[in-house]
Amino acid sequence: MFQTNTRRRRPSSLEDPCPVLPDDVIEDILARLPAKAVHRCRCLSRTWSATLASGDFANLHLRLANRHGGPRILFVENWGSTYHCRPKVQVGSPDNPGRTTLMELPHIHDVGGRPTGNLLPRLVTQQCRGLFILQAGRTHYVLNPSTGRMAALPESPDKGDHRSRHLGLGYDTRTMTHKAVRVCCLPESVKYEVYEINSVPALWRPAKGCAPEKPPLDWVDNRYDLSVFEQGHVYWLARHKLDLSRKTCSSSSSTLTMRRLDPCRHCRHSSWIEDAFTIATT
Amino acid sequence: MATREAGKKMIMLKSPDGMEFEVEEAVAMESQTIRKMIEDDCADTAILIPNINSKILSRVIEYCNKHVPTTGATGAAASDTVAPAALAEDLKIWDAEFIKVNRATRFDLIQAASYLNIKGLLDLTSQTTIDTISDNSLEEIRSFLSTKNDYLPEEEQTIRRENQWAFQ
Repeated sequence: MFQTNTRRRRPSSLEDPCPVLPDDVIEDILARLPAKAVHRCRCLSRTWSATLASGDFANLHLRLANRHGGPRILFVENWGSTYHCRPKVQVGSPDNPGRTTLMELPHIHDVGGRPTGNLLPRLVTQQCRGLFILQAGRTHYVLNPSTGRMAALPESPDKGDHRSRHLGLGYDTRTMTHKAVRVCCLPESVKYEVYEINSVPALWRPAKGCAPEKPPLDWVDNRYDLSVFEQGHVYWLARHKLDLSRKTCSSSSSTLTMRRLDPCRHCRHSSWIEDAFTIATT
Repeated sequence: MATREAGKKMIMLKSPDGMEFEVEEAVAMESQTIRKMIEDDCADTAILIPNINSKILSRVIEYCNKHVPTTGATGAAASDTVAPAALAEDLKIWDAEFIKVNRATRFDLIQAASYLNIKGLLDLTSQTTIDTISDNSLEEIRSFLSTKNDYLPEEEQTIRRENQWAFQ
């Protein structure tokens, strides 16, 4: 994992007495620090801890940090053989190679000895306020490329096929938390669950207001169609097994409800292979 | 407003210690605060810049003079002969030289850039400050920002534990 070994440098030379900067100016300066250094600064004082944890500061940090050295690019690297791989995630900017973050995931073993083609690590969601979800083996991880931290999402108690689970990631502006939304397409029903990132106890909770779907939806392989988060909702493209008609499903990140949206009439009969979707904000 | 040379509007800036600086309007408008005053027609005579002494104000004007866009009527010749990339590189070197000041001056410049709302100067001064403190210990940052540690010992232990990963 990423290490800052220069932290314990000798103190900077004593300089002349200095004007005291107003708090809002200091906040503006700290918002340019790398995310990890911001976390260290939470230990400065009570006031700074509260300020640096606030939503306003997070927005300021999103605006000001990481602007120098160009955009940061995230690579998921598959290293090793198909049956025994140790995936790595690298985040860095080509113009600023010194600030590269490297995250290593645990080894992936396919216990059943089946081909692991579907188990190779890949991002299963788009970025949502700085976080991603990555699938490696049967486990899903939440990644924070800015800090180089990651955490495995809790496993589901039911032993369904991992390929039938589809994840989305949203951000609830009311509670200021990220939420992962999971759709499990089981043979007899479709289950929707929500997990609040960092919640204690770490549990997937069923989403309200969604009766099991009948007949079950056959989902788009989300290797190609990632979920989309916009305006408090997570959207997927889904279709029925038989008639290939498409539905967009949405889940509200704050009320934890699911519902289906029918596509507009004129695009209902196009070939499903050409399907592509995104959500436009109004 | 004084007018000198055809097509160049001049603005008078006054520091609280009584110094006056006559600058081109385009240069003064690098500051969003002054731009707003000019656009709202509040800048008929001289503009008094409170809290910024003449020493700092002259440095701020020096920065704005260098960074005023060279395109348009006044600087067309410059942008025609010099490639934009070379110009940006030149400006970068100039910036690096400009910011070689002691901490007190830099903090004064930060405050001036913040009050006058000059984005480029605020970025430059803040980034320089960040580069000096990002690898420092908490104690060093505290003294740097004149912040007092108001945690109770057990509180500090808890918050340190929660953020332990960030110290690794």
